[in-house]
Amino acid sequence: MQVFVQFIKDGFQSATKGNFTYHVWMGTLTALMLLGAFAFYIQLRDGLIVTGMSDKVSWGLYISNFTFLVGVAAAAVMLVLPTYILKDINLKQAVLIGEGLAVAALIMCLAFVTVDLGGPARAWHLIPKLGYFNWPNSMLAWDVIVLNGYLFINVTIPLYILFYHYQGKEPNKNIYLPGVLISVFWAVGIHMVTAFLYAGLPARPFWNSSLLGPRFLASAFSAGPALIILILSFIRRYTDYRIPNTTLRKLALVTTVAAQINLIMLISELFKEFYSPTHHSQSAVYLFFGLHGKSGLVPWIWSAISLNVIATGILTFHTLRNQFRWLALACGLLFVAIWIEKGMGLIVPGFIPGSWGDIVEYTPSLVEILVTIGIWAMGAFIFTLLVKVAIPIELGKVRYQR
Amino acid sequence: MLFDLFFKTRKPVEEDLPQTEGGCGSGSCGCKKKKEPAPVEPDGYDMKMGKTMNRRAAFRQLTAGLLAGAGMVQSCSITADKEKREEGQLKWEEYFKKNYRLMSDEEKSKTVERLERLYEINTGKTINVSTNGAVENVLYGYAFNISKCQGYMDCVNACVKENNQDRSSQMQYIRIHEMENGQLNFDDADDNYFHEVPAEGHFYLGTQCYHCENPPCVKVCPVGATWKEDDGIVVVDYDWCIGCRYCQAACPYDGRRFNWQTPEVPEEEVNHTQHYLGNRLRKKGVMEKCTFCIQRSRSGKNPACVEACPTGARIFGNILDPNSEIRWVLENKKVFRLKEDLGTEPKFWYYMD
Amino acid sequence: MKQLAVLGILALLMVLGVTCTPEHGEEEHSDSHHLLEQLKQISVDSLNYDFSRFDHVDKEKLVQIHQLMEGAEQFLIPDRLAEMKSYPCSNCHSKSLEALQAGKEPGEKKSHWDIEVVHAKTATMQCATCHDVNDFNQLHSLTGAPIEFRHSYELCGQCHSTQIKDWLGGAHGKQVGGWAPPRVSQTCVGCHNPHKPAFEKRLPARLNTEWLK
Repeated sequence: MQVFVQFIKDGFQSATKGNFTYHVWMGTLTALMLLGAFAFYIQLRDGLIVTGMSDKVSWGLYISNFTFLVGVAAAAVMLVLPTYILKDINLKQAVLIGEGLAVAALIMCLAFVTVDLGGPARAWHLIPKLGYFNWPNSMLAWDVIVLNGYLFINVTIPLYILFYHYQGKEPNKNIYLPGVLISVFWAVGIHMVTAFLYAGLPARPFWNSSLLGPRFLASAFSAGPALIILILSFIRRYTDYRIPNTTLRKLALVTTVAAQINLIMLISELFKEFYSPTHHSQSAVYLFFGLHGKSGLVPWIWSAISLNVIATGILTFHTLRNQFRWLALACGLLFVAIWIEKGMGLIVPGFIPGSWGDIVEYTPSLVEILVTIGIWAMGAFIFTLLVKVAIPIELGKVRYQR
Repeated sequence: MLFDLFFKTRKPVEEDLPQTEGGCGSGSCGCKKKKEPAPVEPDGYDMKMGKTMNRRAAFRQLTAGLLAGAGMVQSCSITADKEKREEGQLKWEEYFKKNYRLMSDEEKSKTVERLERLYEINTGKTINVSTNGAVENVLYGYAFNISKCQGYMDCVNACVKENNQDRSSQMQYIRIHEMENGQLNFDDADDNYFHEVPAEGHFYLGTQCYHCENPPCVKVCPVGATWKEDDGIVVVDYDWCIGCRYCQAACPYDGRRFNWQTPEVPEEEVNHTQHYLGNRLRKKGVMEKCTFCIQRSRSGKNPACVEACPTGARIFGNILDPNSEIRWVLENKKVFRLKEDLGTEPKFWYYMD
Repeated sequence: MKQLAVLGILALLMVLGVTCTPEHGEEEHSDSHHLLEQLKQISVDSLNYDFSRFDHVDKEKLVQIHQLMEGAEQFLIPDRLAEMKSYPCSNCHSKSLEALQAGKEPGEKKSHWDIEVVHAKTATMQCATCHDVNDFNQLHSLTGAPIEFRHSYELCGQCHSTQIKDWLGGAHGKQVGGWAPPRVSQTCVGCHNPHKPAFEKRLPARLNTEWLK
């Protein structure tokens, strides 16, 4: 127990110490978080009327980001699986980072769902036993379980490993490996469940597709590792934490394959919607070409698709992928492309046209954008803290002093 | 300046349009009552609360200044404080109450007492909130005659009044679609008409909640705040809803409405005959919908829209009763339902003469 | 190890599949598109409503309709006679039509000068088609059988045979009591002016819109 208290203390110390850039970075994030909190206060005071959402498009920027971030969280598994189970040591350094990212992404997910609620104060109704949990009927109830469970797993495993490394001990594989194994399935689970949340609605033909789940996985396993590659490149440049080239190369390969599969699925979807368009293709028509003069999403989706194709192209050529500058560029493009495509490009057109063919467009309001930025800042803040604590422990710089 | 951006400025819909009410009198006396748009005052518990507080605070400041030391100030603030404390206590208990479906009869009457008392504290007026359950052997159904509807919109007005819907956002449960003869196509329908009706070569079709036998909205609600009652009415527990709007995404019929802000109903327009699952006042951030006017239908009456329809295009009744008019319509007319392929089994049929 | 992973994913999917099957209790209704058939089977012949809850129908000023068709339900209608402001008509029309017309000064207005008949062609209908010129207190059928004012639907039903059938059944006309028995329906003249039965064009009661942000 005493050791744990000391662990927390040392962790806090290494999190608060840092050079000037670090403090500026954290300060900026705090400022953004405060701005987001203020915007959220306004939303709480006046109601969701301050957002761009309406009875027609009843989910917007918040749920879009939620969907995207579930994918990022799930992608941590791409590092865990080979490292612990296939005994591939190359990725081991990346695992803790990946799990830290998963934790940050999950907290962001939960935050995005919470700010989207009309009555966040009544969120306790979701707690089983205490409230009324409509399980197993509601996919949202499933999502609450899998997200919180995944958060629990991803907090406890790294905590356990770090805590042992902190004491200079080797963690017991028999304890953490089962957890790792569960988290592998769980990661697939969180993203499939999130996909089912949309795919299970016949009212929205744009989402009501059996391809949605696999497509979610493919896009997640390209955007997630892409982000991790960017982060690892940054970490190995600015810290002493050694991340070998092979790690990045392996990750790049994962990203590439997932991006290629994602592109194939996109083509398959486009073919289905546009080869013989039915009434159910209206949303896709709106998204890609605009409908009855309304075309708010058209520039977005075409930029997303272009970025996606360019990035996948770069990744596909070994010579380009193996140059880290090209790799970083491709990862950045891919991340942005999938954020657009899976967020606004998926959630919003699901509601357009509405049930009775009415086309009401959606543009996020300033409040919504500020809250969103605030939550992203919070995610970055948490992730930075986690990494800042984990790296010195892993490097052996911070150790328990008896 | 930045702050101005936070407050969405909304275009007011021509507010000085005369609201006409057509009765169903004999055709010769088509009397039209003109109604001045009433000034909209904030209402709903949140609003009321804020308002009285301000007045009270202002009053206290005034009296404190003028009658410093006088006993009056004390006695005044004592009663005010007492009410305020009671209100706080009631709200506290309301916050922790259960899902309506899990409440015992005693708990139901307790919460109704609290709601009625809260309204009294805030407005000085009394309301009557019913918790009437479903009548045995009743399954409600609805039929809409598309040859008869003329697009007069009297149903919408009646619905808004009966169900205490938010006036400031013009919330309406019913939508009337003006369609061109020769097609039943919602894409080309005009949902925002304002001209003399019926328009030449057009027909009118109304949509609202269809009270599906297999309601997708109920299935998806994570907290079970919406369900189908034994008489087939799909209801919402406004105090249990967390406002995630999953049901709105799941509804293929645009049957649900969300309170994006605190609903406002001028006190003099509030319908004081209420039902817990029906037209009692809502708060911001919760879902609401048509309940076939549960406060009326459960005492044998027709929903407000049926009563208000001047053309008799709306038929309501018990589809289990073989002698009911609705059953006669279903068995003798050519009826159809919308989006039947989704398997939702709406209890809302359309028919023609 | 890989196989284990695959198996695990399959197991997860199976759990999802099993738990996501449709809700219980829907079996009786959900066998698609036959709701009506199922209704016929589960209908209760002797419905026992708790009538004590219903006080929505004030039986005063209501009368029962005549049996017009075999098996047709007999329901209540508003009593037209109670609604008529100047009845009996014989209070004014004390003489026969001929006598009344003969006693008129040149240029004097007719009794019902304000009534314009816009109902079928004059070749088909005129005042006396429905009004009994020999007894102003009642109407009469095409063959001269007397019809009370309160039962004017019998008159309308002579030509409007589909409408009267729909009205008796419940598809045409307006429910004015409530949904629960006893049934009360509006009569033909409750909604249609018999002299000008078509509904008139007018502006809708309100703008058909909601805030479309």
